[in-house]
Amino acid sequence: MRYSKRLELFEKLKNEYIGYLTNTLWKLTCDTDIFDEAIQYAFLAIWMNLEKLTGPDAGAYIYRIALSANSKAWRNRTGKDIQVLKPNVLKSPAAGETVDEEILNLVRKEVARLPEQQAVAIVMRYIDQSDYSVIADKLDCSEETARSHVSKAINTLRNNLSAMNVTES
Amino acid sequence: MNEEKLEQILNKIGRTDVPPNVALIAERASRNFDAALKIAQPKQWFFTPGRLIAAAAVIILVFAAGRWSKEISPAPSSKAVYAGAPSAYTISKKNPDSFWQQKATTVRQLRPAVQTNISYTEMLNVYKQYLKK
Repeated sequence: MRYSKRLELFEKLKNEYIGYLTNTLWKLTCDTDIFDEAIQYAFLAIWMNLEKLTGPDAGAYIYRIALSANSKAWRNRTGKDIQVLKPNVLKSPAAGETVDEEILNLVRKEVARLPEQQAVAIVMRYIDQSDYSVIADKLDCSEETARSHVSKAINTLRNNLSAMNVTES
Repeated sequence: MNEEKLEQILNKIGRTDVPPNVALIAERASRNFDAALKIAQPKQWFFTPGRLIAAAAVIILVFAAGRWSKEISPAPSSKAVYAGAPSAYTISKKNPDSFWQQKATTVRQLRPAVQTNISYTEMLNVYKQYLKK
């Protein structure tokens, strides 16, 4: 594909998906630095995979791009300058609101570490509030398989959070 | 943490408000990415492979047309013609009496052969004539 044609297509796709990407990536990061990095990764992924985004699976592929960008941004940031979780604050009964926000951030971080199919299923189910039929349609699988992906993702998240000794506030 | 609580947390994440400045951050990131694309775009060379082929074809056609417009000259005779040995000393038509010209002319003139085989009788006759004188 010629460069000028690629640029034109990229502009079109960017304008089409920037709203969705902004909304989803902010909910998954809730941090301006991570969000900034994630959206840059998402633009790069759109540029690299223009052909796939014009095909019949474009709807599902944009989820994969968003989640992959989210995972990369979290991987780059965690452990560098962002303290996602402070266990002593979590276990402190006096700081109720802080604990809640910290758990939210921890769950966001764990979502970024989920396998791709499970992450897509979780995001579609809980971030986009989609029905299982819609998830099945986007993932090109049966409704039962979509339920299975969501269930597996919930289990993985629960196990990972339990392993980190996170308890309910 | 039980499943229900985790679902509540996930739903809460899904209901997170998106502040307006996030859209501005996304716009800025988009502009930055566009600028990076402009810097990284490949150089546009004038001589692309297609243009090179076209230029070569035009040049070949022009030369071929020039060649075809001329009459075909007859093939040179295959008979060998002896042109004669070129003179080692060229004669200048401008100044035929110059020093070097005279030298060249002298060299080219045939010299009289020296008679070395004179017979004894001839020598004797010449001597007798001398005595008479």
